[in-house]
Amino acid sequence: MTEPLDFRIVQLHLTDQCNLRCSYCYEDRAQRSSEVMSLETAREIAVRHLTEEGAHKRVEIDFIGGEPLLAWDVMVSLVEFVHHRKWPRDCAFTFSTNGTLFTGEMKAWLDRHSCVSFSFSLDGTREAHDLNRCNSYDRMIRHVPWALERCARMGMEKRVKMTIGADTIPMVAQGIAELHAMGFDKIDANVPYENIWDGRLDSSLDSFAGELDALVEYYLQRPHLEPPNLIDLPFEKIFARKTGQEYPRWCGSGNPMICYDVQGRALPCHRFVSVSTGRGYEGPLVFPPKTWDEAGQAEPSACVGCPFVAACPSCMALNWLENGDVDRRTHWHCGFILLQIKASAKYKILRLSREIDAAPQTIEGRQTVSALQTGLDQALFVHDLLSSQSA
Amino acid sequence: MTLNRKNDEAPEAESADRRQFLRNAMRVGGAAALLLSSASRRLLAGSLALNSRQMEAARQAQQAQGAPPDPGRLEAEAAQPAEMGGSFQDCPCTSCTGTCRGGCTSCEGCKGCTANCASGCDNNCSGGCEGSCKGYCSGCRGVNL
Repeated sequence: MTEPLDFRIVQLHLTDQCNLRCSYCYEDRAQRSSEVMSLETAREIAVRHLTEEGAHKRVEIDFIGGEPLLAWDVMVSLVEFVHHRKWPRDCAFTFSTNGTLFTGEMKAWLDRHSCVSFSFSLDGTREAHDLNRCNSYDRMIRHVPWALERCARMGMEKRVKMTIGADTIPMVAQGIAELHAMGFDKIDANVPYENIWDGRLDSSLDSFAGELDALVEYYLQRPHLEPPNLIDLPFEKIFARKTGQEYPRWCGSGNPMICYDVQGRALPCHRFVSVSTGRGYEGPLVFPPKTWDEAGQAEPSACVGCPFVAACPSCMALNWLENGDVDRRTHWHCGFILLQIKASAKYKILRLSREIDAAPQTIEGRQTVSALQTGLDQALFVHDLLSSQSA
Repeated sequence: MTLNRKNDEAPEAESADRRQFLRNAMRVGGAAALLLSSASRRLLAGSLALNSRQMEAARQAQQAQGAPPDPGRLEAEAAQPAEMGGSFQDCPCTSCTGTCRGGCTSCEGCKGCTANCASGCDNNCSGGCEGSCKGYCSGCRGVNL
């Protein structure tokens, strides 16, 4: 069974409100409340998780929305409340932002509080970002140099969230290259799990495959850069399945995550908030692991028989929303993930072939070769498996 | 927020049985589970291909001389029972005279292989691999093609 995690992620959904209307956003604008989480509620939740029983040593408080900067006063007050007191466990703060609302005062405060880290949602090129995120590129990009300099000064990872929309697939590789050139080290890029394809799935896959091929070449030429999941999915996991082992999950909904909506109601993660689901959630906050056998009982998901399920990302909340079970996976992203797995295998084959070829003819070099050959062999197997997939 | 649990579970030791299971899953159940259109499946098969130069480099890398095998590890591997049932019948090594124990299953076309492919080919394959190992089979290194 999986080891218990030594941290807890406490999400505070501060507000439904957002100043943008992104093309792929799953939040229902018609249902957005104008309410903001009260400081009293936020404090009570923070204190509870910082003092509760449990093996975790660290609490990460993650401010989300909506756009969390629209609830800036609550964020500041809560951070200062926690920051100025002693607690039995460590605490850090994070938030994700569309980056359009920073003021000089906000930046100055963030520069004084290294316990708070944040990441932008930045969808690559100007054209892609504006298509996905309602022409907000210029309003956001002017704050990026400050944010990167802050990360460097405070020793924080320079990472950025890039979502791939139905209209922006042909710009993926160029977008990632631009983000690296801007100074970001790590790019969390993904295709949404929701059905955003509107009858364009096959043509989108075709375009996506070409972008992945370009990314493989891009990262091979820049071995110092860490590639995104797009070409670095952990396909090795498919070799590990054994009877009795846990059915794989990808996200941390329920464990280590817990989310509180504006009124302070607990949910397994932010994707269960009613503005995201369109209905209330009354189910459990934690999902006990299932074995493969249990996942295959009753009305099994088609994914249980898929050889790649262990390496396939999935959103437990969306699974529940669409299929009534957090482990019964949606499959709109299936083709994209299979292409990503094939791209990951190709990237690994080419990278390991080079590394093996460059290994010195010494005892240590030969040990390196042996270690790398296992990975190479797996990558070749996976690539072959997906190349033999016939119509 | 999505947690990338990429690194929190080290894959356990794989077996050739697992590889055969994966092939079977792809062929019979998994392929249907992929829920792709015919066009998408053709796209998946044909895209992100390796060219002949890349393939040759990979083969050479597979055949590069590594560290000598650890006899203790090989014995331990040989003592492990096969983990997935049903793969003995699927073994394509139709005239294997060695101790195949289901381990040859990842090796397509090892007809006549007399070595124990499951624990690494010792280059004593008298039958020859008949060309279809394509360098993918870690056990038959050096004797195919």
